Amino acid sequence: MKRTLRHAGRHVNVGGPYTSAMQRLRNPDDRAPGRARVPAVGRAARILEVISAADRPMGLAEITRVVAAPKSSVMGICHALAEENLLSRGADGSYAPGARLFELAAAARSLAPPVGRVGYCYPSEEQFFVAGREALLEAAAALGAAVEIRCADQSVEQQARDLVELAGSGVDLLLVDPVASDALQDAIAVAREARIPIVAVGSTVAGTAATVTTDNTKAGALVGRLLARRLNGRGRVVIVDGIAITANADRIAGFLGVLRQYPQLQVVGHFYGDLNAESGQRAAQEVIESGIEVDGFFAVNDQIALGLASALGSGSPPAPIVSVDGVAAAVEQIRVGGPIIGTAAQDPAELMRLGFRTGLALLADSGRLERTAFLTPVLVDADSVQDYQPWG
Amino acid sequence: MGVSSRTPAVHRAMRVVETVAGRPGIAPSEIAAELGLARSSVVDLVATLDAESLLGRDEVDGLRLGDRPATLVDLPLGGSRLLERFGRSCQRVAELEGHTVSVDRPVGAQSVCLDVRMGRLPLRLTPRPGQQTPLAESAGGLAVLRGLTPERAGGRIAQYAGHQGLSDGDIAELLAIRAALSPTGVVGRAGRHGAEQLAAPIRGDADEPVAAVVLHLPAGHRDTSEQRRWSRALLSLAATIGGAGRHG
Repeated sequence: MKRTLRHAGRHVNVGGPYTSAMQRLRNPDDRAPGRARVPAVGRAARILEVISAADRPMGLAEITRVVAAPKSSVMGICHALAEENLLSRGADGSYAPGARLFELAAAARSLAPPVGRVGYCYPSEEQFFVAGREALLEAAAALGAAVEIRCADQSVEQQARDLVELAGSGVDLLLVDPVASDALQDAIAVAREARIPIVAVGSTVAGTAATVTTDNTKAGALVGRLLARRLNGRGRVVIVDGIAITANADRIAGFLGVLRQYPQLQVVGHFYGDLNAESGQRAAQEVIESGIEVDGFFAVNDQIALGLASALGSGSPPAPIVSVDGVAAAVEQIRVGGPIIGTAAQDPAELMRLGFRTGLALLADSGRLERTAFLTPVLVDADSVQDYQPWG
Repeated sequence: MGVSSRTPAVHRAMRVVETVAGRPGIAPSEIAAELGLARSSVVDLVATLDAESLLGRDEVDGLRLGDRPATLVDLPLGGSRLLERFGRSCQRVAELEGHTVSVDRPVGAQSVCLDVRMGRLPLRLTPRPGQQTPLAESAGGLAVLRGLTPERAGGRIAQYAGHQGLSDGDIAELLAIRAALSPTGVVGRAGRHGAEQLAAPIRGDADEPVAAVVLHLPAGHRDTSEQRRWSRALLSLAATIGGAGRHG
């Protein structure tokens, strides 16, 4: 699935360059409230726009005609703008953009957001990723950055293609929540070759510049302790794993680390789901068909847990299920006493915001930092000498 | 604050813009005190400048330089802007890291620097935005003209004939310099003060060069193998800016 969402910042000049600028000038309704407070300044801004848009010198008569203002006013403003070096006045009296306008433009650009286009690849439309995606869109919009999103529909091949395509399209920053942690190296290499910072969000991905993730080991340990206490330290436990990402491996490692403290708790089965409740139901069916007696379940994510609960919940009493994520449906089961009795909650929105900030920091550190700073000198002349304090 | 009597509001507005540019976040009352203006005047000027995007607001609602000047001088490229793409694309070319790179374009018999990414090597002459150099000495300006037909190139120069006081002979001389350039690859020029330049044209929406990226080198950088590497990097950067701009 491919979507491109564009959140243009203020005053982005998109499409129809020079003529659109001229057309805006002829439509007073396009003027925002407040422009008339100092009319000469508003008119000066329009003159600068007209001359910049023309991309050639303009004479006073032509400027006056296009701006549709009194000639004496236009003449006085052009003269003042030339004195300020925002316009240059030529040998024939025509006007063109002046050096100061380019200086101000460069200064304004240095204040611009560091990112224009962000690419985000994620595994599926499961709630967790949707929440992260929406947080990224909001954060990017605040900076006027466009986001190109790609959902892999759980296909690692699709995700690799998406990464390569985005890198080739020249995005400034890539964020990836992987379908598989160690199957994207070639695609990541393409982005690194293009010197595009890549941040892995949610799980580690080989080759990325940074990773932002929940402490998944701790998440597994937290719910492991809960399940161990619920089972009074003894019983038969089944793990339902998910897609091949380090997040799941870390959660299981954390869970098993706790179980080692309870020798009478045994892992009697290791089954696999993926990212949705249906996969949890399938895993539940496999457990039933295996004939294993189970006292408790650890599911690596809430969607699998919800699928398990749906398929196994008719048992009396249902075996307790613990998981990771913190989605509303799982929390509701916790509230009513099960089958899901606990979940280690993540914050997908904050993860994504942190990932985005990490990406911006990588961009800032990648050579965009101005290594030469210029201080503006102050003119000391007959008018200002009285106020000037010499330093030597 | 000495101002011309013809349109004092324009001069006062520029003083406000300069003050904010130098001290982002400054309050209108501080501006008024610093410039010796009535607070009500400053409030009106700030409101107008803000409405015209010559001033803007940061994330905490403090005053800062607006983005209008940047949009005025930038060149549209696909759905975005050339100088914005330059700023972001420059960092992607490893071979140019640490070097001074500018974007230049011809304006009549001159070449104007639109933007600069300063490097670490000392240069005899520091390129600055708005700075103009004679076209005959500018690798960037010549790189753009070389990519135009002789008629288009002549027309571009002639547009500024009255403004710059150019004669037919001046224009012919520049066209002769253009004709003598190698038809492909980067354009090299030994500029004044011993600086050396290499330039590659950036193609715009009509597949015509609109500006050029220019690598500025200290005098004496004549190592052929390095020049070949830099030339490839410049051509790659120019293609990235021109091509990436079409992705919006």
